[in-house]
Amino acid sequence: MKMITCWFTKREMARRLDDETPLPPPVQHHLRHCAPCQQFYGTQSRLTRQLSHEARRQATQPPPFLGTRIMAAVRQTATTEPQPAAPPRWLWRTTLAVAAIVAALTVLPHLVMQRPPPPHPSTQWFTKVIQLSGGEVLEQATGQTIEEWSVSLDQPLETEIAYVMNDARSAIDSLANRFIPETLLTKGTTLNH
Amino acid sequence: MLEAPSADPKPVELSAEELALRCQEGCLESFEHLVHQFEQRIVNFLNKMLGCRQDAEDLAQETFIKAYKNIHRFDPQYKFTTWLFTIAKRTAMNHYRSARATVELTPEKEVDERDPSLALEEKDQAQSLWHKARRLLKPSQFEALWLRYGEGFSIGETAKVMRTNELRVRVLLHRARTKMAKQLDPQASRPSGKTENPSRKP
Repeated sequence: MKMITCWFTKREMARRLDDETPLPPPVQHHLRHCAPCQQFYGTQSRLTRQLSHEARRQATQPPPFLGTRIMAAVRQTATTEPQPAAPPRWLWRTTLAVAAIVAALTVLPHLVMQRPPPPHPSTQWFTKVIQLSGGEVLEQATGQTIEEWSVSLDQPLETEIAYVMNDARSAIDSLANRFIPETLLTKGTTLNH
Repeated sequence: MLEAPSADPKPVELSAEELALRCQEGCLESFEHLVHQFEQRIVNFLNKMLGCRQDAEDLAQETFIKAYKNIHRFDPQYKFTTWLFTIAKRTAMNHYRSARATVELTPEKEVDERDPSLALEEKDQAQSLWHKARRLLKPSQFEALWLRYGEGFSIGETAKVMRTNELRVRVLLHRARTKMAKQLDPQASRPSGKTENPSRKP
């Protein structure tokens, strides 16, 4: 259990060392009771301090004429290759906005004008009857007529089911012919109907 | 085109980003201020990356010329420092790639031909922590460590210069510190709470 706490504490300590922020109270509390974590934090924070300190100590001044040398080279570049003009800041935003408007104007009419899908074949008959009667059929509908309609509506559904059954049969036959050994098929176990 | 605009404030009082902005408008004086502000840091950074002072000075010049040529691409919303260091890093990488193909001189011979004060300085640096870090760490770990603790960049800025994400920088820093600590204080970096199994001893 303590090892897990130490693992989490070390993760937190590494985070704090990266960000150079003080340790939170729970970690400080853990450090007071855990010598290895205390040693880990001590070593790591000492190391980061030393690295920063030595970097500052070793930072040597560049030679006195380096700046002049650089500027001479820059001036030469400036005269031979004139600096390209900075593009106006608003250019990108305006271009993007115009592109978005054009895209919206192109796509929106297609979306709005999109027609509803054509009615399913099984309901075509019913739709035609309603259109021919000018809507009177629905007003005059009785229990008997509704039953007649339902029979008529079921007709194409039965036909569709028959088609599906035929498709399924042919698929099973094709699979059987491909994967069932011929010896079994010749014994009369063929699935052909 | 190259003259400084007469508008106040003076370039010295401006931030690096504002100076870069004025430079985009054609003010060469502003760029000169940027050069004076950053030449030392860029030379030190390149020196740490390449390990050769003279190459670092040459590449610092190349870095500033590249920065000037591309100043119109700088976006003042971001920090100028990270932008400049990114150019310096790329310049160093290009130099390293081309230098790999050439025949290298032996270090001893090179030191003898140089200024004695430079040789002394290098001897001092050879015993330093950063020298050990360069020997011990992978280039990416060393770069992350230098940008964070040598240049004082934040994790986010280090990630931007290294063209990576913050998580990777944290991982690189953690590994670098652990490796360094292991070398400097082998006892301190021993994993805590682990007990050796006596039955596994030969």
